[in-house]
This record gives sequence, C-alpha cells and structure tokens, in this order.
Amino acid sequence: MTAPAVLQEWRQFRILARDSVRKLLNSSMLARDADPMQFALWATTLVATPPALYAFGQLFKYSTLRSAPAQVIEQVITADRMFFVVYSLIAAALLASMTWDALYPDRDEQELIGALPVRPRTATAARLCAAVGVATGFALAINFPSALVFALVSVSHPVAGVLPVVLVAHLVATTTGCVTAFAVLLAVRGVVALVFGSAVTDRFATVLQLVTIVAVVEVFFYLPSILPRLVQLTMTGEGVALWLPSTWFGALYSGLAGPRHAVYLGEAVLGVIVLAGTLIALVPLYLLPSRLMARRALESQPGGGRRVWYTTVVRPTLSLMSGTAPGLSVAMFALTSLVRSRRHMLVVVSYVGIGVAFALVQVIAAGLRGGLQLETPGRALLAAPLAMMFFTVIGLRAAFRIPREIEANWPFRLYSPGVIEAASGTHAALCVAGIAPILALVLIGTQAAGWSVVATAEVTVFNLLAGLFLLECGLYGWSLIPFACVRPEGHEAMQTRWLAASGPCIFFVFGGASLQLAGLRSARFAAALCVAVLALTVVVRSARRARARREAIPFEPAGRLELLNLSEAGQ
Amino acid sequence: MLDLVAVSKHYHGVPAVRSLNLRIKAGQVLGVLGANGSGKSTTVKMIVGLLRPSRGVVSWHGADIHDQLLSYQHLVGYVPEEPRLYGYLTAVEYLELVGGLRDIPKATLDRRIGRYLELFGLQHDLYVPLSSFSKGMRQKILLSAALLHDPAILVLDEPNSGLDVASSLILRSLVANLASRGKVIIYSSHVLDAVEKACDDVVILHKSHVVAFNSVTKLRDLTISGTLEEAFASVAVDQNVTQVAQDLAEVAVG
Repeated sequence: MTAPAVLQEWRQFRILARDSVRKLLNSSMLARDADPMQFALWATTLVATPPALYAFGQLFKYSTLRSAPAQVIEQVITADRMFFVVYSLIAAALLASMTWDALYPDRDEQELIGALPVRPRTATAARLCAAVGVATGFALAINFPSALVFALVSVSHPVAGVLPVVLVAHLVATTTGCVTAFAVLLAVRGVVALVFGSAVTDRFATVLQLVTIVAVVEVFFYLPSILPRLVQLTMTGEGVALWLPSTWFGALYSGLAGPRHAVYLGEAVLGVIVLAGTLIALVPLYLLPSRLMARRALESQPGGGRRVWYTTVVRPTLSLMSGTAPGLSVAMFALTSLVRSRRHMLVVVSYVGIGVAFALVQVIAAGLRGGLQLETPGRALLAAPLAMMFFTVIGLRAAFRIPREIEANWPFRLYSPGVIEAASGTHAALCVAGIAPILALVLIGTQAAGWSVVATAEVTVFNLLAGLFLLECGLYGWSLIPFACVRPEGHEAMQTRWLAASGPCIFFVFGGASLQLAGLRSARFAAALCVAVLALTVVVRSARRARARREAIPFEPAGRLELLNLSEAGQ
Repeated sequence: MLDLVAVSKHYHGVPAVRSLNLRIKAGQVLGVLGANGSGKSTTVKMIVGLLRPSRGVVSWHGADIHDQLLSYQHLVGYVPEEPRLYGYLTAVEYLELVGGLRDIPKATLDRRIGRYLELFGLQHDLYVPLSSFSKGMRQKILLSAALLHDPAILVLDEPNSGLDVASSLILRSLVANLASRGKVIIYSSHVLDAVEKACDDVVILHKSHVVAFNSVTKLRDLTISGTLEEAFASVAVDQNVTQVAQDLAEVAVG
C-alpha cells in the first residue's frame, strides 16, 4: 500500500470510529426518540450510583476501624475493593448486552458503507476500536464517583494507602476489569456470530442481559457474604482463585494501592495478560472475517413469520380475549412488534430481570433463614410469581409506550380504532405475554416441587385472578395503541416512576402472598378472596372503560398539537 | 359526491394549499398534478381526513367529513406517497392488521388477502417481512390494503412509484374498471403520462394555488402540440429547464 492510501484509510478509520460511537450509543438506547446525551448521562448515573452509595456507606465503618490492627484493616479493605471489581465486571456484561447489535454491520449500514470505497476491515476495525473506547469511557465514568468517595473514606489507616494512589488504583483495577470482561464478551460474540449467525447471537444477548440484571441485584444482597471467601482465595492465590477475574483485578488493586503481597503480583499479571491477550485475539477474530460478515449482512433475510404457533395458539387466545376485530388487530400487532424488536425486548427483559431477582431474593433469604420448604407452599414461594408478574406487566406496558416505525402508523390514524378497542387489544396482549407464561411456570413449578393437585389448582386460580386485577389497574387511563403512538413526554420513565411503583409492588407481592397463604389454609377465606378480587377487578374495569370513553388516542405529542392549533388559530 | 369548498391549509403559518374548490362525482377519475411542494400531498391528506383544513370544508354528500370522520374513513381507500409499512411484518400480517382495523370478517379477509396476493404475483412471499420487499412489491401491498374493503373513494398518491410496466398497465385498467363501478378516484402523480391516460379531469396546483382545473382533453386543446406535458409546463413550470440541466451537468466539472 502506498503512503497516500494508508493515510486515506486512516482518515476513513477515524470518521467511521466516530460514527460507530454514535451507533453504539444509539443501539443501547431503548427509545429511538430519546435524547442520546440525556440517555448517556442517565444510564451512566444509574450504573454509577450503587458503587458510590456502597463507598459512602463505608464511611462509618472505616472511622471506627481507625485503631484496628493492620491485619483486620487489610481483610476489610480487600473485601470492599473486591466488591467494586465484581460490580465493574457485571457492569461490563450489561454494557456488552446493550451494545450487542452495533458490533457488526446490519444490512442498511452495509448498503451505505459497501457502496463507498471503504475496505470492510477498515469499517470493522473502527467499530472494534469504538467499542473498546466506549467500554473504557463507561468504566471510568461509572467508577470515578466510587473511586473518589472510597479513596476519601478508606485512607483513615496507613495500611489502606495514600489518597491519590488509592484513587488511581481504584480506577485502574475497576476499569481494567470492566474492559477485560467486555473484551471477553466481544470475543464470544465474534465467535458466536461467525459460527451460528445473527439469530443465535440476538438470543444470546437477551439471555446475557437477563442474567446480568439478575446478577446486579443479587450482588447487593449476597456479595458481602461471599466476599470474605473471595478475599481468602485472593490472599492465598491457590486453586480456583487463579480462574476468577475478580481475584486478578482485586490483586491488581491491592498491588497498586497496598498493602502488597508477593502472591498479588502473579494474580495481577495474569489479569493483565488476559486483557492483552483478549484484545490481541479480537483483532484477527473481527478483521479476518470482515468481508464475509459484510457479505452476510447484505445477503441476510430478516426472519419472517412461521405462523404455526401463531395461528394455532396465540391468535385463538387473543381472539377470545380481545372481543372485536380491531381489538384483535391491535393485540396481534402488539405481540408481533414486540417479538420482532430486540430493542423493545431489552426493555421487557430488564424488567423481567428485576422481577426474577426480586423473587430470587425472597426465596434465597427464606432458604438462609431455614424457612424454605419447596414441597409446601410458603410466603416466599407464593411471592415469587407475583413479583415476576408485576415486573413483567409493567415492563411490557413500558415497552408498548415506545413507538416503533412511527411513520408507518398511518393505518391506525386512518382507520382509528377507539380507545376501548385499543385497551382491549393491549389487555389481551399483556395477558398472553405477561400473565399466561407465569401461570404456566407456576403450574410446572408447583408440580415439580411436589405440591398437591388441590394446592396447585388453588395457587393457579389465585395467580390468575391477581394477574387480571393487575392488568385492569395497569391499564387504567391507557389510551395508546402499543408501538404506534408518540411517547408522552416525561411519563413512565423508570427514573421518575420507580418510587411511585414501589408501594403498589410491595402491596401486590407481599400482601398478595400473605392473602394466598391464608387462602390455602382456609377454604372459606379462599372463596371470599376470589370473590373480592373478582369484584374489585370488575369495578376497576368499569371505571377504566368509562374513562376510556372520554379519551382519544394521542397520535401527536401534546406540545405539537398545541403548536398546530395556535398556528391555525392565527390564520 | 366529494366537495372541497374554499379549502386552505397552513403549516405554522406557511400556506400549503390556498382556496381550493373541487367537486368530484361518482365514477370520475381526478388527476392531481403539481411540482414538488405545490400542495398535492396536503390536498390528498385533507381528502383522506388525515389533515383538517385550516379553512374551508371537505364534504361527502354535503356533510363535513370531520363531523363523521370514522364513518367517512370506512369509505376511503388510500395509497400514501411514501410506502411506509411496518417492515418487520409479513405481507399477510400487514393486510390482516389493516383488514382487522376495518372490521372485515376473518373468512372474507383471508379470502381477499389470498386473492390480492395471488393476482399481484406475491403468493410466494407470504411469510417474508416487508422490509425485504422491493418498492414495487410494497406498492402492491399498499394497493391491496386500500382495496380490501371495497372503498367508495380511492385516493392514490403516486401509485406508480416503483411499479414495473406490467403492473402500471394493470393499475391503469384497474382505475378505469373501478371508475366504471361508480367509485370516486383521486390520482395524484408526477407522471404526466400516467395521469393523462388514467384520468378524466385534472387539477394542476402551483405554489399552493389551483392554476388549472379542466378535463384532460380541454387542457390538451389549449396547447400547440396538444400534450398534457406542454399544458403543465405552460402553467406550472417557472424554470428554464434546459439551462438548469446544463448548469447541473457542469457543477462537478468546474
């Protein structure tokens, strides 16, 4: 290659790398209409908050440990450092699952780039560099607040190190850990995409996201109890310790900030070798098949609908539940749009992940207290499906509010179904996607655990009624066609509504589980409970439908309508 | 009978259509011609009921369509200018969605969908997402969706866009056939030849105004060479076409 050609490729690389950063950010955004900068700030703040709060929470502990022996301080501080490292590793997995789509070209992008005089390897290298750069920036951003707070808090004892050194060590260890985990997942993605194709990698991303969200929640509840063991392994450097990434980067942290031990050096070096090795391996893994992947993207056909399960199971169920043909159309559209949008599935999976984690916390806590018996119904086990149901339904509701291909919504505007039909369709879709799978899990789970048929039937009926009540409450005031309406500004955002939702959540999950337990103990109470829930459901449904009659489907944002009216009034 | 009486539309104070008066009878095919930004699509959207006029009235059999919008829209079939479809739906799913919103009984809908897809030669693409369809194939889906419920008013905005020669010929015959069955047809297009052959009357819009509204034959008779193109150029083209073309060819050279 001549020097001008190399220069030109370098310029192309820089332009494409900048564009890839935007694409990565866009890919991780759950709603396309959101402001990318605002999203980036919110997401980073959200992920950075837990470790910062944890660091802040240690203030009291370290002030009381000021005169403690050096050995005790070392144990405590190594455990805390390990917490930050583990959190950083999990955050990397979350980032990888969120930016999954943007790591290889899609058809549209390839049609644009492919027509230009750009080598596939240049585009791939730019994308790869952008991904690693974003991961590094993300790691620094989420760990800086905790680094600052922890450095200030923990240096009360000479063993804990000097403030600037601790600050730098914190950032280096957590960032290196985050980038290593991200790079390993990039490599896994590369191999899976190369061997199995895009459909499998998409499913893998969904599973990865579910697992990481569950892991993030569980880390806060259970990591403190596991940390002493991890610290012990790190300090001895034996056996399984060498295989744990948390050990490598925990050792790197202590190796940099002190107190230093000979064993840390080997572990830290291993971590750095894994990071360097993975980054080096990524280059041929992504660059060598870049031409093949570009061709695949161009030749790929999006998966169409094999309609067997649709026509035999989903459609009759929806038809039964939605009542009218427009209602059925809305329901079918909602489910089809959901299952064919990874972006919307990510929203639902996030909520489901929180629900699963919430349920697991109850079950594990009951197990640790010794009060968990799988073969008989207990409060923790009864709360689990209710928690999953609650979070799945609000997750689906949140996803339905995020529009998809909004310019294509003109059939709805033209043939506009009423609010009642829109709500009926949404109700049917929520029932099929949010309630039915959990009822199936309850049936399978209770039978697998060896519950009696009567108990299984009772619990299933309780959950069905609870689900229907939840749907009616959740759809009160609902006037949208899923995916086809402009998102109301400032509504339903998790960062603004989570506090308001926590009260109903606690009532629904814990109150519901207690009532179910009482119902299982007394047939009379069970009957009264069913009648009461059914009556409440009917009341809320009537109120919902009465309100729906007064409303219209908002296809335009309120602000724009007002502007148009003003403009027209001025003519 | 569809009437537009003194219809105007402004967007944030900018006029898109000014004082438009039209009457379209059953069985009539009205062509709407105009340059880019002349107000064609706005006119079409007001006829369909997607936009409300800033002034004036669009009425169907004497009644303002916005007084009974839902029942009016049940009579309208519409092919929009841009083939914007939900790309992740298959052809059948999309037509089922539209048919369901139209409240067409399931059996009738299935039969009609099958027939339209077969007649348009799309019977082998039933389960392919619309994102994989070519522009012409998408246009056929839009035409099918517009015809599904046997509309009394058919509004076609650039219906030829992307269609192959055979499909364009079929479309022209279809328009004539539907008109003979008493449908009101509005045919908006840039393709003068298509409008000339498909329409009885033509309205020409220029800078938001109606500059000509007459039968195709009478408009042709007004010009020396007797073509609609010449008639259109005389009332709606301000530029020196040859000079602009020459300038364009020289931009990248100089």
